[in-house]
Amino acid sequence: MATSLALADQVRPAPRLASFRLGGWLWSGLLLALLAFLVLYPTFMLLYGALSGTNPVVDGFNLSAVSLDNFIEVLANPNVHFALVNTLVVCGGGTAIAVVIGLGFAWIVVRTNTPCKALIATAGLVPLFVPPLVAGVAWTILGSPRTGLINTVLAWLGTDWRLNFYSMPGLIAVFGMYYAPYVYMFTSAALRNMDPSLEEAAEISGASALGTLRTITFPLIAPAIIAATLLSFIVMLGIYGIPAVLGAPANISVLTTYIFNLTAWSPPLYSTAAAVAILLMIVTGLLVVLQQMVLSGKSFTTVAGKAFRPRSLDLGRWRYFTLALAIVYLLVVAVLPTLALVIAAFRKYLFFRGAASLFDLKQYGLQHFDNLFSNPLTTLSMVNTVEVALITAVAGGVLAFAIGYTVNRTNAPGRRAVDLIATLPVAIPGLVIGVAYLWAWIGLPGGLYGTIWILALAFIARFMPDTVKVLSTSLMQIHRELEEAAAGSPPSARSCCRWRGPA
Amino acid sequence: MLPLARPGVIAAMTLLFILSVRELGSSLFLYSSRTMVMAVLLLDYYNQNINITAAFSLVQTALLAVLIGFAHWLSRGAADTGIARVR
Repeated sequence: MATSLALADQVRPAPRLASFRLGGWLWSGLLLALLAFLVLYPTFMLLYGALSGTNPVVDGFNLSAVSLDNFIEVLANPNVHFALVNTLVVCGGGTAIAVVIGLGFAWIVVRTNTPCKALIATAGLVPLFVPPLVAGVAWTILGSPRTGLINTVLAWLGTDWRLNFYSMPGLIAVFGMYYAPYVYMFTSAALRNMDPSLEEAAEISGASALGTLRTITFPLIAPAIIAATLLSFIVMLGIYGIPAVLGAPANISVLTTYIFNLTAWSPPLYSTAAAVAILLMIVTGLLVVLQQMVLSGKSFTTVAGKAFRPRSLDLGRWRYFTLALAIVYLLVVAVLPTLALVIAAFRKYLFFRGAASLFDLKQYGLQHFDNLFSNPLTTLSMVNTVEVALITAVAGGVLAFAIGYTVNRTNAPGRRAVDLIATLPVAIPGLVIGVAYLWAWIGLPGGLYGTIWILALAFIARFMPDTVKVLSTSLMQIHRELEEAAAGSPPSARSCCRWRGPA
Repeated sequence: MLPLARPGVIAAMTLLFILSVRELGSSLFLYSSRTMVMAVLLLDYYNQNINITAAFSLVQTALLAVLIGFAHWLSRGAADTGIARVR
């Protein structure tokens, strides 16, 4: 999903190649069949699961069991309401913080003369590289109410003040910090592409610097801000790692953790999980549609077009303050968590007798790594992960190329449908894909469930919109004339694979 | 066409590789004891021992850093657009 939502409605190149009707139908049919297998069938089975109220392992499949009762029962469950409200509060609060941080970073980097801008621009993107679960683990080590490192340091300093990250505010803070880059990427691009003459006009007419910011700058980039807000909210909705780690000790369940807990009970409540997953999918889908409406609005006209040189505001001495803000963010979001992980990984016990014991080298060693690798599951999981990732990358990359090429570069029939189905997973959070694939394959004989392949297939479906987006962008940069020149006239689709000229 | 499209294909494949290594949500419902993956095992460790979890987190982060570096080297800038999308 991510930024792929940003420019979904780019202009398609007008001339089309490859006009073989029958071959075109066969090709589109093949792609549609693959997409139906990867996306539509699991989604259909998820819907069946939510409506049937059965267990696919025990009961098999029975279309006569389908009724709305199970779904209505789930919607009426107070635990679901609790999880839904928590989800909206956590994601809403997290988004608010992400917007403040991300917008602040965008303004500092694009519009001010703050020193070390390259460092700040990098700092603003660092959290993208941290997996949510790892971030969550690091913040339990830092922020758990009794043994957390922050509270240990606060105790040494002699204050009574304590931080508790096993709480709603803790969850909101971690979400906000780690998803600010989405807002930063969106809004910095908008700020950079804005016509500065509009601001100059305002100032010539007597508006103050703040007045210009309020009446010209923000209204102009408002669509980008709204889209970025929705995007970070959508991403947070589907995150499992952070609430699983920080929310569980305080019994704060959100929709994702609630769905997983339903399947972890014995017997697992697969159909209830499917119903809650549908609920999560509906919320996500509505927001995706809203975001697309904002992005396709006409408000972007002043933000597109020729390249402008953004005006840079002279902050005077305050530029060191903005630099300090960026450094604090980098410390909180990257340095502190890494330090916490390193201490916990190399230290024998996470207990400190005093400040000096932190630097007592005798307390450190490799024993946790020995224990880690003495468990055969560790190496097995690493081998499996690389294997699944390789299958996903190769098969998913080839499929995405086929889709991107067909949609952007041919006039094959049905390419609109191919595009639409390949984009659908944007509105399906990872956890929901997991439940859908479980329903699609667990009851079937033949044993795809439980193999490496089901993981790879689910990943291919889940990341299809991102991959197709990346490929389409690069395909559209290639000049059609080069392809046509390769084949002479008339151009044929096969030339795409044959031509190897100096490029 | 294929030679010209190669940077895009490589960017898409490295993006897929990195996203798959990090993926947790969908794996939770699809793994078995034979097909255990790193993200799920990390969560398992978290419920047992925080020190081992931290050690495994470092291993996973180091692996991702190497992969991102390798992807960057492989596509020499072409993957920038891809890596920026990693969540």
